[in-house]
Amino acid sequence: MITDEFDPLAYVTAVAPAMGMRFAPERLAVLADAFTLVVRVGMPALLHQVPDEAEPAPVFVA
Amino acid sequence: MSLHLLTAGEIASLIRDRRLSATAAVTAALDRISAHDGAVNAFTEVTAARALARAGVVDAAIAAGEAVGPLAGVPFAAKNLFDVAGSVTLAGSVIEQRRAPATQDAFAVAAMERAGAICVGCLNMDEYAYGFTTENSHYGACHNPHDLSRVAGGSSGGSGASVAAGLVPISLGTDTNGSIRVPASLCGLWGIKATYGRLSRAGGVMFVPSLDHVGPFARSVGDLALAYEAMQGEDIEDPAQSWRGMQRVSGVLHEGVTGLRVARLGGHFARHGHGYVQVAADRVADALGARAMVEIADAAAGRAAAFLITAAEGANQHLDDLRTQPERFEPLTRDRLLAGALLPAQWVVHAQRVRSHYRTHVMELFRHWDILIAPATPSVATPIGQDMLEADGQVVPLRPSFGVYTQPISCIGLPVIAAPLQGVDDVMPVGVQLIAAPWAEDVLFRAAALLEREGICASVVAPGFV
Repeated sequence: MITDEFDPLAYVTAVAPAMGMRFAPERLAVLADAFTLVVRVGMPALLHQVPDEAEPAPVFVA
Repeated sequence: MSLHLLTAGEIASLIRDRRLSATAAVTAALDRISAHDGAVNAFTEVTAARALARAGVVDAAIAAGEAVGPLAGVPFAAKNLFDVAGSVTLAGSVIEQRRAPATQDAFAVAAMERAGAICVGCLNMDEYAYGFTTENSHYGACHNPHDLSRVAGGSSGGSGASVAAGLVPISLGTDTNGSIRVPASLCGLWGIKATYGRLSRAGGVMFVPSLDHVGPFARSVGDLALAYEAMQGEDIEDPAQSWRGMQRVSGVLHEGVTGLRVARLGGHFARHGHGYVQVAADRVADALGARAMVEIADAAAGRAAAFLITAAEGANQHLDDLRTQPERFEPLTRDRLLAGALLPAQWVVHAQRVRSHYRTHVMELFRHWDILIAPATPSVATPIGQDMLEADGQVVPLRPSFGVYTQPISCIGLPVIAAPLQGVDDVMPVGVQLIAAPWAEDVLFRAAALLEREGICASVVAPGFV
C-alpha cells in the first residue's frame, strides 16, 4: 500500500493546505515525524490483506 | 473509623443502617482529597458544595424512611470529560475552558447518583483522552500513589490515582484503546470496560466514537459490580448504545468458574512485555484452570487498525481547533491529532475493513472458550517523563506501547475486566485482562470474584496513603 518512495515530509507539506492547515517549515518537520510514527505503528494493518467482503462499517452487533 | 479503607458496599451499608451519615462520608472524602490530592494531582475540580447538598438529600431520604440506592452516600468522582452539572467539562484541555458549565450530568454520572452515590469532583486525564500516561502539561502530571515518581497510566489517570490513593472508593473513566485497563493495571485496581454499546456514553467529550467505552474503577470486585450495575440503563442519547436490558452481576459473584472454559492468550500477547507481566497472566490463568494457550490471529493488525482509526476519528473531532489554534493543544496530543487529520482516506477505510475481518476471526475463538487471559500492560508504571520502553529485547516509544495488549481487544468491542496483582514486580502492581465474548460480562465477574477470594488478585490503598 505504501511504496519506498513515500516521503512523509513531502506528504504532510502537500496535504496540510487541503485540510485548511498552514504550518511553518519547522512545524512541518515535527508533523512529518509524528506522521511517520503513526505510519510505523499502523503498518501491520496497512500490510494486512482482507477479503473483498470485509465490511468497513464499524458493526459491533454480537 | 477509617472510611477510606472501607469498600463502597460497606460505606453504603453503614449509611443505610444509620450508623454513618452521607454527609459524614462525603465530608471525610473531601478531607482526604484536601489532604492528599496535592501529592497525586488526581482532581481538576472538587465539587464540595454540590456533594454536600446531595449528601443532605440522601440523609433526608434515609431519615424519612425512603428507599435509597445500593450506593447510598458513597463518594465517587468522574474523569473530567463527563459532564458534571455546574462544572466546565475540560476533557484535559485548555481549549474546552471556553465551554459554559454543564447544565446537566452525563448519563453515567446521573446513573451513579440515582443509585445513591455522590459525585465529589472531576478527575485529571490525558488531553482529549489521547494518551496512556496522564502527563498533562495543562493541569499537571498525575502521580501514581504507589510511587509518586511514576505515571498513573491514562488516559483515565486521575480515575486510577484517586481510587488507589483512597480518596474515593469508586471512580468513572473511559476506555477507547485501554484508558481504563492501563491505569487500572498501573495503579493496581479493578476496572471494567463493558461490551461496546452496553453503557451509555452520552453527556461529555468523547474521543473516538466507534471505539469509546465508559466504565468504573474500584478496589473490590463487589464495588465494581455495584458501579457496573448502577451505570446501566437505556439511553436514546447515545446512538451507539445497543440496549439489552439490565445485567445483574452482584448475584453471580460466588458462582465460581466451574463449567467455564478458560484459555491463556499467547502469540502477540506473550511478546512485547516484561517477563513479569507474563508471570502475572500465568498466575491468573492457572488459578482459573486455563486449559490451553491460544492465539488470536492477526492481533497486531487489529491493534494497528485501532491505532489508525483512533488517529483519524480523534482528529476529526477537533478539526476546527487543529486548524485555528493548534498551539493550544497539549504537545503530546497535538502532533498525533494533526497527523491523524492528514491520513489518507483509503488507509482509514482499509483499517476499518481489517478491524471487521479481525473481529470475525476472534469471535470464532469464543465458540471454544468463555474467558481469555492476557496481560494488561507491557510493564508496571514507568517514571514520569520517560519516553522509551525497553521490554522483550526491544526499545520502543513508551506512550503508544502501553496499548499493545489492550488495543487488540477494545477495537472489536469485547468486554474486559482488568484484574490487579500485587507483588509480581518488586513494588508496583500490574494488571491482567479477563476477556469474554460480547455481552458476557457476567462470566468475567464470576472469574474476578474467584481471583479475589483466593488471594490471587487484590487491590489496596497504596501504602503511602493508608
